Amino acid sequence: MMSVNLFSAEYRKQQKELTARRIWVIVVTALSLLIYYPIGVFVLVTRTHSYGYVTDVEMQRMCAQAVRNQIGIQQQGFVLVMILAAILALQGFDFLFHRVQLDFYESQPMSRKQRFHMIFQNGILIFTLLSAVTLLITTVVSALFGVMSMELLMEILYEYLRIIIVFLAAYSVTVLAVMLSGSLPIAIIMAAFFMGIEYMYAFVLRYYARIFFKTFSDDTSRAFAWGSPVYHAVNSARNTADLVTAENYTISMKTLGQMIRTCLPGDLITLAVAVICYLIASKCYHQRKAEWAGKAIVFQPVRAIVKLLVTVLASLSGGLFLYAFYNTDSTGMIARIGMPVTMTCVGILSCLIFEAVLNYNIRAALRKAWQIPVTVIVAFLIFNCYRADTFGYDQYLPKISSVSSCALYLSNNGDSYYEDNLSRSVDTNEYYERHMVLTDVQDVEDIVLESMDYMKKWDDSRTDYYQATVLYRMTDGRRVYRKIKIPSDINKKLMDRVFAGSEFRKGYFQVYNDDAILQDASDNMQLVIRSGYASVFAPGNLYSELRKCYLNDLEKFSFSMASTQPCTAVVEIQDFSDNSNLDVNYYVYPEFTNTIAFLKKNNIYLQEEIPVSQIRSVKVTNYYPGHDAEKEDMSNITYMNSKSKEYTDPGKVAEIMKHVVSYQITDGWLPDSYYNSQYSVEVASGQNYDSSSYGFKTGEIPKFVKEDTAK
Amino acid sequence: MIEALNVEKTFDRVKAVNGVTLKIQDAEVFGLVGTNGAGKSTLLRMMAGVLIPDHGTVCLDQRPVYDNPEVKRDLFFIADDAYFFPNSTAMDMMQYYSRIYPCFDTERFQKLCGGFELDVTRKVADYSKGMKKQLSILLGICSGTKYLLCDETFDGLDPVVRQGVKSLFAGEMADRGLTPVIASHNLRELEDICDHVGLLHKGGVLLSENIEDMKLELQKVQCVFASEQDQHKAEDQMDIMVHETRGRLHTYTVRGKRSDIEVIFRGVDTVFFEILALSLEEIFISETEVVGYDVRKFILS
Repeated sequence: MMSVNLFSAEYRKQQKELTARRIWVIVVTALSLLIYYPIGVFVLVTRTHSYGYVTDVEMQRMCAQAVRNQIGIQQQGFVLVMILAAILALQGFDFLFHRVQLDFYESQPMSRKQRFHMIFQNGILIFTLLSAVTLLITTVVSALFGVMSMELLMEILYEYLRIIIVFLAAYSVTVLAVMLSGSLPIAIIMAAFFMGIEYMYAFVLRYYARIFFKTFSDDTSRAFAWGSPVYHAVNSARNTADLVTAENYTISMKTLGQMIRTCLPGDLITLAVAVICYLIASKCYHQRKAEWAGKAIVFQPVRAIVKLLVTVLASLSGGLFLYAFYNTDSTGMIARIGMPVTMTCVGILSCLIFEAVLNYNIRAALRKAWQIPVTVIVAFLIFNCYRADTFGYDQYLPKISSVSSCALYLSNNGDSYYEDNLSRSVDTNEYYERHMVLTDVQDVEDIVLESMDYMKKWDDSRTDYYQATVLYRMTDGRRVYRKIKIPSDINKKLMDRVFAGSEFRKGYFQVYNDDAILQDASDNMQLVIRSGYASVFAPGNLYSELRKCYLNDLEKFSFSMASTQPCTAVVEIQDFSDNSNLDVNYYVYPEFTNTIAFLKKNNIYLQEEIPVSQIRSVKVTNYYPGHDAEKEDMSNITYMNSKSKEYTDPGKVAEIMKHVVSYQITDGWLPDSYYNSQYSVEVASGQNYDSSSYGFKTGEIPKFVKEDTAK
Repeated sequence: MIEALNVEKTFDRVKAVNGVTLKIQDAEVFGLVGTNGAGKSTLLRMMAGVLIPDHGTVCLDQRPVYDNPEVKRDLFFIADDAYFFPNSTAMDMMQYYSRIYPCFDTERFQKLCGGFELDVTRKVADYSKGMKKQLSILLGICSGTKYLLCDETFDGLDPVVRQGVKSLFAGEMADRGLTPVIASHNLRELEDICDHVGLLHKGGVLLSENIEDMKLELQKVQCVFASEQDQHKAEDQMDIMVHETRGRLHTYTVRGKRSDIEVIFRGVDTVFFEILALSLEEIFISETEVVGYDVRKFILS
């Protein structure tokens, strides 16, 4: 028996002989890699050099980024790598699709296992060597342009490893697809199917959850297709791009370490996918019979599973397409009737097409017709799981004993948060998730329960709620997210039990995690104190004193306080120097006496209300003349001509200003119902025609305003 | 020895080979005959280890052949549509096979190619169908294997080349005990080369006999009897398989040795009596008719 030792002369001879028969695919691989890597880098760097009026340092940075974009962790070359992996796999095992070649190879004195491994390893060898050579050439080209540093070199080396991992995954997946297929076109379709099926299902089901689950917490930054190499490749490129941008395109070893840590979990999963697919493919090759050449999908159970997965996905996608096309709501006719009808039609059609394609015969479309109702039923069951919430997703409330801690925060809060790096704000939700550890799960669940009751009575016209996210950190390590609508008239004592605690404050307020800001409190930093109508500036070195006052005041913070009154001011901490992009808000409530005293002491306190003497005019606009939005249901009124009235009379101006509140210094806890949405108030003040936006407090519209803007 | 024991193979619910049991002795030419779809190629591909039987076993020298490289070093399979690497020449194929089969005789191959007027530097793709067949046969012979499995190998060969190949086979059998197994749908092609023939029909073996034995055991007699009494007397003593009459001329295919038949006819009065040689076709027709098959339609192409 021929030797299978990896280092034996016989093995090398076999590999050499096999390689010699794969010249064209080697040429294609080499050319593709050469064009993408060294030539791509050459073109990008020379193009960068053509940019005029850039400093040498800036040019060096731009060139390094150009190289990084082509061969660094951020590169998009993984698409090419995957295509080449597929080509090498398909060409290597192409003989399995042809009886003539099977007769030739299978009658020769070589075991099936040895043949499989020889071809499998040959594809890896070809790519590994060619990619190493092309990356070496690329590195040399970059160095010749003077664009090389230790950091960049290390990044390229790590990226080479990642390329190999991506290649191995795509290669193994394609080989597995070949093992399950009897012809080249079907193998290509199967490879695409395996590469994309989880991603596509995750995308479609996520969309369904978004449509039908009221408590579904949609956050694209969370991984949702764990087994997909494509997803991890895209995700790594995107996440590292964020890091590089945050570092102002200057990569240090520390940043490189961060990039590697960001990519590593996805890379390990991709590697695991490669190993699993390789093992299954190896087993399938052993089981595969020569007479299956020319068939479509050779293992019957796989054929049935693939058909079901594809046709159900098509059916679900059909319904989704209709929903997205009409941009409708989850309770309308489209969702109730249109989607099921479309899903049925697409399900039937996809079954017919599947059979016709797999049999290479349009007349075979009706074969295995019994599978059509199976597809439709499965698609319907899935659809119904979402539409009717069969498994009680929206009623989910974990057992308290199974939750180790929680986080509760406003979804899509517009404020920015910073951690170690001031050049980049962190994702708001991630910040809360990292820093907010509420151990009194019972209180949080009580809030969730009340929110669920509110959501059951929900209709789209309502605005009296807070959109919030609750995170349950389960004792088994899982993290469960739910989006809830907290009614603005929720039991305030209940809310205060959570909000007034230090666990909430430490997770919600930036000042508790401000080490980096404190270190940065220098000349580059400034404090901007804003009221609704004006701003004043103060030097950054006041920050350390400000934070002490603010921390003291936060001890008084409660939901009752934040939800019943607007802030008096907001202190904005800014640093827009070279390595910083800091911009955070500290909201100041009337009860924050220490902070207010600090502001007054430093002459940077702005009076809460704009002095009437400074107001030139007030313009009030009524968007629904003749109606009262506080009493009437306005959801059916789509468009009306608004009515505006400008007031200059000091008496009327003073009266109006008593009842307005600024939109510009609210922190999100003041409910929408605090404002009247029917009127807007523009206040013109000062010398330079500045104007500020205000709104009337609900139920406080002066009578003369109503009359003046009624018709 | 090649042994197939109760071998079955089904393709898409169609039984291509149905319970075949046969033995092929070493150093004899075995002819595997049957119509298209009889299962010849399937059986041969199982012998070559390309296909795995659904049931039963195929062994070479008492070792199962499927996925057994040791056994496959002893066989060379010439498929009905042989594969050559794209853009390869005969020389390339020779080099490939010489790495696969340690006993491959490269010198002899080049010499034989010269003898058969095959240009070893020309691309195989440019060869005619017959030339490709010749190349396959030469590669097979020069590989030095004990068994040579040929699927429809003689189709497309002109009579001169066919004769040359037969001579080669004879030489190899004499020199190193080569055992060629030749599948064909044409009995006439195999008659003068095969020692043993297996007849396949609808996946099963109708017959598997040594040709010489069959010829010795069956006799074709033409005669004109002097009287009806003589006719009845002779017929009562013979094991008649087939009897045809044309006027007074009787033609019998009878089972028995030539000498025994001669003894019977010495005891009756005949106007004309002659024992004729039986062709392989006639033997098969006679044997299979006895078991109820009308093989004329599928043997005589």
